[in-house]
Amino acid sequence: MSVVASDLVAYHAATQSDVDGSTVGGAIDTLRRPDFTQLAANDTLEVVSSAAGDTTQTVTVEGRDSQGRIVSQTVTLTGTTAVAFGTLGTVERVLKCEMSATAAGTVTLRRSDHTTAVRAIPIGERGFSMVFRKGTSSTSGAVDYYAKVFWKNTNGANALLSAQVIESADPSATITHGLAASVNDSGTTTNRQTAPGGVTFAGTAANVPGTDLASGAAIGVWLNMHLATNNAAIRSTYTSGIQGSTT
Amino acid sequence: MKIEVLHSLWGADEHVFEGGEHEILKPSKRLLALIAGGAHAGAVRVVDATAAEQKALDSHIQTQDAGEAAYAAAVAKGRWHHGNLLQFVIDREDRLAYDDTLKHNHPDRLDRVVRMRLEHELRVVKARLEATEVPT
Repeated sequence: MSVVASDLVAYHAATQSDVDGSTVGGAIDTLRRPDFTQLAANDTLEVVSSAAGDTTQTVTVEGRDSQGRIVSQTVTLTGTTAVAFGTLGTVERVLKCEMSATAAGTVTLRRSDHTTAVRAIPIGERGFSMVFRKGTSSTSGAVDYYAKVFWKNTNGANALLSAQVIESADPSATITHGLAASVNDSGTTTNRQTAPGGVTFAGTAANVPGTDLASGAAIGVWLNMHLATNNAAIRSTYTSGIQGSTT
Repeated sequence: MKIEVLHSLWGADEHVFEGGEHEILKPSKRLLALIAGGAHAGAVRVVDATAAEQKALDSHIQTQDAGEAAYAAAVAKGRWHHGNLLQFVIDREDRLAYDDTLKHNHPDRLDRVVRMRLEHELRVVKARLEATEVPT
């Protein structure tokens, strides 16, 4: 079967960091994704599973409230009945969602209007979080942050031919990308403010090493967020993409 | 047991904890599960726990290896696909909605061909999603 767009899935690397001083990067983490739909307006949240038996897993959501404070709440799933994050209250943005264990159903975090999903967590996965979720600018100079994600070709048979990773949208114009030297790598960098070795960052399309992204293979994508001195607060998104051809 | 809340506020059922350390006397099984989940997600840190409490905390969190095995099994059995397709639809609808907000000369604005491709992908995946059984 040909590779279709939904076969190409973005995942986090094994080690993310929202603090300075910890290693960043590593191999692919297929349990957690870096993409979701940020809240368009301040709202309350709830979580629900498609399987009635999902009653033991906990779900923790971390966000910022309307005052900018980091707040979180942990709830226990109650199957197909939605659970409200009542203590969390109205949040301005979601930063992270993490389950204690995989579920039997598709788990959806959504706004309490019941119509707007933040993200669906497929069976076998454990959560999602924002890249660069707690970076700050400095009064004494520009700051660069680095994070690593992967694009995986989940098609069971075919390669994505002449694969390229692209920047699909960068509204804040603060992020560039660069690819790992080989597919399925596990490279790290010392901490989130140290550039990974051998990676060239740009805003242009980057060719996947080896030309094609084989069935089941994943390419590491390093992201660089550059904040100027006293950079104004950013509430934005970044959309990475991968393109190619298929048989 | 004693926990440290690492955020400005952490909620667990009817309990609301401000940032900082909190002593909890005789935590219920349910609260232990919530503390385990909160600690796993980086919202709280367990400062002190009895052996029995620690055992209960550990038992609640699936290891990374067990999670990866569950992921592989879900992909192999096809149960992973519903959530993946559902998320694809959510994501594409969001990208197209964002595009609708952009002026014609905005650098993120999709050109006509790319937009038509995204709309086509959305239609195809929506049809696949509708044909996929919701996992229960």
